Amino acid sequence: MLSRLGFTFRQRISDWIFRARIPESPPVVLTQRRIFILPSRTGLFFAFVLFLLLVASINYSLSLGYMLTFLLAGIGGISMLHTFRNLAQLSIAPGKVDPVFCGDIAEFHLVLHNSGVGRFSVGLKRAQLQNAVPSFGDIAPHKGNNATSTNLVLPMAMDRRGTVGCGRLEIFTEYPVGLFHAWSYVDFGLTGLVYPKPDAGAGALPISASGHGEGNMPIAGDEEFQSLRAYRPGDTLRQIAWKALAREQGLLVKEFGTTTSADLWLDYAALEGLGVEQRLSRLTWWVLEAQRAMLPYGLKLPGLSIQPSMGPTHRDECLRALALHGLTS
Amino acid sequence: MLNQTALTLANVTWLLSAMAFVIAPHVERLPWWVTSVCVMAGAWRWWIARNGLRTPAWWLMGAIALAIMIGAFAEYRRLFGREVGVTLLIVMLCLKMLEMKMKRDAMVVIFLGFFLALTNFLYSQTMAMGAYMFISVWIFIATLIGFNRINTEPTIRERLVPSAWLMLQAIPMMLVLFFLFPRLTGPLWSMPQEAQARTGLSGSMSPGDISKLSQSDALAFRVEFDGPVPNNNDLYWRGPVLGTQLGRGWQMFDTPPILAADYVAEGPLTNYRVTLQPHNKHWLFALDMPASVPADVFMLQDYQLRSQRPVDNVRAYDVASHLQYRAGTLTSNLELQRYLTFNRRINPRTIAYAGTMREKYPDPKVLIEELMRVYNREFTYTFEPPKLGENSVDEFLFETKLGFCEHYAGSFALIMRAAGIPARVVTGYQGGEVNPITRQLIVRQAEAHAWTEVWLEDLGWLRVDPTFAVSPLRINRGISAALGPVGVFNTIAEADVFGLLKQAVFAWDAINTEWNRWVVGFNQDRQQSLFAGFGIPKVDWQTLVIWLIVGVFTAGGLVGMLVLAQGLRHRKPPVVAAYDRFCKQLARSGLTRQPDEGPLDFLSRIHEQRADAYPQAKAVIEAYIVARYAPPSATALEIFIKSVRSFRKR
Repeated sequence: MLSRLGFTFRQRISDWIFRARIPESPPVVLTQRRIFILPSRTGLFFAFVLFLLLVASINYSLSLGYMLTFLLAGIGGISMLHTFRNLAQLSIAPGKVDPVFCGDIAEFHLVLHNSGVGRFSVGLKRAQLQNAVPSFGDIAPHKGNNATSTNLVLPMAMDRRGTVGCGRLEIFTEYPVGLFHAWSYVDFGLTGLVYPKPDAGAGALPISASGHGEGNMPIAGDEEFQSLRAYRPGDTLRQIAWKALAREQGLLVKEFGTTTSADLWLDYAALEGLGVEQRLSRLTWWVLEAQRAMLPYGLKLPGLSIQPSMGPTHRDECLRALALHGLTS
Repeated sequence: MLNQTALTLANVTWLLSAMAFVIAPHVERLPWWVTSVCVMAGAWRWWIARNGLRTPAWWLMGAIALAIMIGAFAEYRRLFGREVGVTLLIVMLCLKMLEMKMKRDAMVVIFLGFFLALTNFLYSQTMAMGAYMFISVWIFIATLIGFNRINTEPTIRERLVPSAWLMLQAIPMMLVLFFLFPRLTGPLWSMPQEAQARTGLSGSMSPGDISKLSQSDALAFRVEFDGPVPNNNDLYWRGPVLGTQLGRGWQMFDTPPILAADYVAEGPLTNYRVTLQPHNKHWLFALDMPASVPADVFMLQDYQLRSQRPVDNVRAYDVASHLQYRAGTLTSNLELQRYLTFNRRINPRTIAYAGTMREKYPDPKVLIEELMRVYNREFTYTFEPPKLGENSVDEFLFETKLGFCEHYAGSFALIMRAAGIPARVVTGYQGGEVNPITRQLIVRQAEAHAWTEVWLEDLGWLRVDPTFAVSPLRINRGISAALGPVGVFNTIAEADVFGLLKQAVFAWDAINTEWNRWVVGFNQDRQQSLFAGFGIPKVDWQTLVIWLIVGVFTAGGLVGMLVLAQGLRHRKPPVVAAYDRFCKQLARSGLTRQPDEGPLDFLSRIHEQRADAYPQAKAVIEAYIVARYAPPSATALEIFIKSVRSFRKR
């Protein structure tokens, strides 16, 4: 209940400060106006203990008891400054987000430039998500005249393809003694690219000499038998080496290499009878397979055609097209 | 999920050590089985943290807790009160440590550990204990810092240095709060008094009591005189007055309080201030005869000072006395009857002797003088008198003839009563030692003394000290002079031989005096006189609160500026500042440098998008690269700053 209220309260603050400026232009410096600080729940309990100490000191008229109480009260008060200082004047810029496949975990990087003392246990979490799991990091102190930069990494599980943003981020700390919670929000509109989940069910590459998108089945006679490999789920019955099976060599699949220079086309339209996401997943799988097999390949999506080529850049282009298919706005 | 990782071996070890540190001073008072339970719980907890085991099941913890409650009840016969409360707090905290699972549990343990640190002050508030408290807090804060370091393990330095800074920075606020927080005079609610035995007078006297006490060099009280310190033979510190003779000893009997001292003063007033060590009894000490009464204190008919509350803490009070007086001349016969009763069944020889002496010397004054002559002639003053039997006074007067002040006072008062002269025994202290540094009089338990008062027509209550007759040195020069080197061990007197040592002892005493005055004995009165020292005569609590708030914010603000200035450099190095100016200039004309863009990449972009600015920008960026990345040189910096300036003037 209380945490629910606290969450709503923070949402309000967060909405209020972000009225006008989303996304913010980097770098954002955590100035005094941007940092909020309130006693933590531990801090409130500490205040209660201080009250008990004071009552005991009064009742037993313990002068040293007063001294202990007031020393702890002073430490509590000063710790607020230290907690504030642990965030203050950090300069934050968005960092990289490497693309991932759907179902994997993307890592959102924030780059923190520090021109002050070292900061400890600075947490980062998604602000708009209740019970968000934070990640923590220490931030190195400045060196000489130069600010140092440290990356804070927020892992986030990706459950849909496309460009996925981490939303508003809360950067917070309770160091050194946990009595105060200082926090601030940043929103750079940081996004990560999420490729479709590769579907191994796609089977072997749709190699065809004619290769003009008539079908994904290789045509007998147009290829030369190259080698045998172990069966993978999804391989068609026509590829299975029945003779090898008869010789009790296990379930093997014949692999064929085209002797022609005909290009390999991965075609969305050829995958009839499947849903959009399923088709994209299979195409993703094939892109990766083709890359692994060092075959030049092209990609055809409705309204988009990428000429056959090879190499990581080409792969990334294809995967990006698959990720963003139908989502472009 | 996050919380489990907080209970690392290092964090648990620190917590256990911190707890052991605050429990240590309690160990001598704890029952042995409680100490064992605590040690076992600590070892078990450490083993759990080391090997990543599970904490004990709840039913096991419950059973242990119940067993401990029963044990504590068997030990103390109660479950509420100071002693049993402290014991239960200690053992329950140890059990709580055993079952803690999360960071939050550890926080609770640490905060209750602070409470445990406070309980140490119930037993001692010395300077050493104060230092011990500071070290405890230091260790606890270091532990707390460890628990708030998430995912990384702090080094010992990373624990101790920040916690030391936190404490140092908290001290200004602590001092402001300590001196300005409105002090109350009494407790918020009354608590059962559990007096502990402390050295001091007991309120009764039987042979051997005071001689035992005189072997202690523990401090009884200190006195600060407004004028010169009176002569040693005037320093009779009046304490419990014993009016009842019972068997072997003497006891107090209740006399009603009086509103004001009713004696006739025959000399000037002596003003002084007493700082009394706690003795857990109600009486206060003042020179014969006290004239003014401090607040919260009343005077009894026999001129004893009584406090409302037992003196369970260092207590300072202002008092004034008349050293020459005539007291009790108007005492009624009825009242005097109480000072004539005695036990007729024992000490028959003394009673008979008193009768003969009274017949021989009908004038009481002559009788007293004659008895003094007898004491002086036939008796010896020693603090190791032989043991006495049932008829102790008979044995002392007619056989052993060796005694300490209680023997002389007791026997003399009995003779007086048996001779029909009202008499009572007064206990207290006699003399004291002047600390040459502070000019204060130090009165120790060794100075404990007993004397008598007899009531004579026209003269009233007259002080008669038979010890004086036996050993005038005791009264004129002090106890150590009278007993010689064997008398009192370890006192300042013994250090006479070593002048330097004596100086050190006096200096230490002076420091302790200040500690007692400013820390332990700091109360409402002291607070008022602190303000009086600044020329503010009377402060009510509202004014105090205002001052308190002002003080706390001033102290906090000053320390805060220091903390923030220490940690954050707002000033950019000049190279960076100039480069930022250059980039800002370009941004104004629509070309913004990306945060991750290096100078050369930026330059190529300038070349593409702003060909007109390229030549000058090239000069600036080349100068920047030299100034920023080449070995530092003043000229490179100057060239760069100049180029930025000319670029902006373009």
